[in-house]
Amino acid sequence: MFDTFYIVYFLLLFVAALFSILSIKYGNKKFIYILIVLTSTIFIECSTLIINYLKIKQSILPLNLFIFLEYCMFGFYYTTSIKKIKYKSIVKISMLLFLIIIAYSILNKHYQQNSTTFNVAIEGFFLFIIYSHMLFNIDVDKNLSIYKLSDFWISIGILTFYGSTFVFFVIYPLMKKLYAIETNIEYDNILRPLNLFFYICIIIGLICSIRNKNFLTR
Amino acid sequence: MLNSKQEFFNTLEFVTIFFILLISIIITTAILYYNRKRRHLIDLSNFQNTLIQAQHEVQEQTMQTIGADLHDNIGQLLSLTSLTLNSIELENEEKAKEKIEASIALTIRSIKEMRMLGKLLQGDQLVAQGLPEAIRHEISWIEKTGKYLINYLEDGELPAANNPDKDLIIFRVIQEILNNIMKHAQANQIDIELSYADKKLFIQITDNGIGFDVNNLLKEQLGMGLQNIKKRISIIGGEVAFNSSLGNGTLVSIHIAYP
Repeated sequence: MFDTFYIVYFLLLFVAALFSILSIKYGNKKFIYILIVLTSTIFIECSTLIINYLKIKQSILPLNLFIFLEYCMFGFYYTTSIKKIKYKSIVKISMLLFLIIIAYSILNKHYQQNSTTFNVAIEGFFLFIIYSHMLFNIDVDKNLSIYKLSDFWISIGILTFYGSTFVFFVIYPLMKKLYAIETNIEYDNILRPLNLFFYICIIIGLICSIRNKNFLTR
Repeated sequence: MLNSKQEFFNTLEFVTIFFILLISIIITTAILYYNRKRRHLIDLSNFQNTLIQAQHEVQEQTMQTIGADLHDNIGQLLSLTSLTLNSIELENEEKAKEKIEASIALTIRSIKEMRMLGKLLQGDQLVAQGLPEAIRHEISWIEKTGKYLINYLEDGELPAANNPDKDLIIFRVIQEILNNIMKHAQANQIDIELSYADKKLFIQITDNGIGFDVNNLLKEQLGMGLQNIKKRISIIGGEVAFNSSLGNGTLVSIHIAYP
C-alpha cells in the first residue's frame, strides 16, 4: 500500500502542518490558510489511499470541494500578503468564478467524468497567475534577504507546482483514454517530484516565518 | 502505434520541462529584481543616515562658531564698550563726548555681529538659499579669523537649489575639509573653486600647508575623516580625490552629478 514516495510525502505534509501550527502560535495568523490546506490534503490523500485499497469508486464531489477549498485558501493567503485592494478584489472575484465553474462541472453530466482534472487545471492556471504577481510584489526589507521571507518560498512552491502541471492536467483525460497505464506512470513521474518540491518550499517558508518572528510582524 | 505513443509522451515531457524552465526564468528574474531593490533600499538608508549625521554636524559646527564668536568677538567688543564707558570723566566734556561716540560705534558693531550670528543660527536655511551662498558664508567666517587668505572662484551657474539634502551633504563635506585645513595644515592660503558644467559639479579646495602622505593616512585610523568624506561623496554619487605630499600642500577634488 505504501511506497517510499508516500512515506516521504506524508512526512513532509505532517512536518509542514506542524510548522504552520508553530508559525500561527508565534503570531503569523495568515498561515492558518496554509494549515487548512495541509490538513485537508492529509485528509483527502488518506481517504484516496483507503478508497484505492478498498477498490471502491471515488465520488467527484469531495475532490472538487477540496480543489475549491485549496484555491480559496491560497487565494486568501495571497490577499493577506498583497496590499492593493484592487488585486485582493480580483482574487476574491476569481474565487466566485471558480465556484461557478466547479458547480457547473459537477452538475453537467457531460463534464462530470473529467471534471476533477479540468478543475485542477483551472485552479493551477489561476494560481500560476496570482502567485507570479505575488512573487514580484513581496515587501522586502533592507535587513532581510529575499531568501529569508516566507512569501518568497510559498510563491515559488505554488508557482512551480501549479505552473508546471496545469498543462498536464488539461490533456490528462485524453491521455488516460488513449494510454491508461502509461499515463499513470507519466502522472507519477511528473507529479511526484513536483509535489515533494512544493512541500519542501512550504516548509522552508514556514521555517523562515518562525525564524523571523522577532524581526517582522507580518 | 508505439512510436506515436512514445512521441506523445516525449512531447508531454518536453512541454512540462518547458514550463519548469519558464518558471525558473520567472523566479530568477524575481531574485535579481529583489537583490536590486534591496541594494537600492540599503543605499537609500545610507543616504538618510548620512544626511541626519550631516545635519547634526552642521548644527554642531554652527554652535561652535557661535560660541567662539561670542567669546572672541562680541564678548571683546562689549568688554571694550564697558571699559570705554567706565573711563568717561565728566569733567572733561570733550573727551567724554569722544568716548561716548566710540562706545556707540562699538555697540553698533556688536549689534551687527549679533545679527550675523543670528543668520548663522539658521544653518539649514543657509543651505536652502543655495550651495554657493552657504560656501560664501562659511568663507566669511573663516576670513574673520584673519589667519587665511581665501580665494573663492565660481565658474558656471549652478541650477536653482532643488535638492537641499544633497546640498547639505556637499556643504558639510566642504566644511569638514576647511576644518581639517584649519586644524592640521598650517596653511595661510586657501583656494576654493566651484564650477558647474554638463550636469556635473566640480569642487577644488587647495591649501599651501604642510601636506600629508595620502596613502599612509587613508590606511591609518587618523584617516577616518578622509574615509568619511569619501563615503559621503560616494553616497551622493560623486568621487573625491586627495592629492598631497609632505611640504607641498593639499588639493582635494570632488566631482558630483548635479543636481
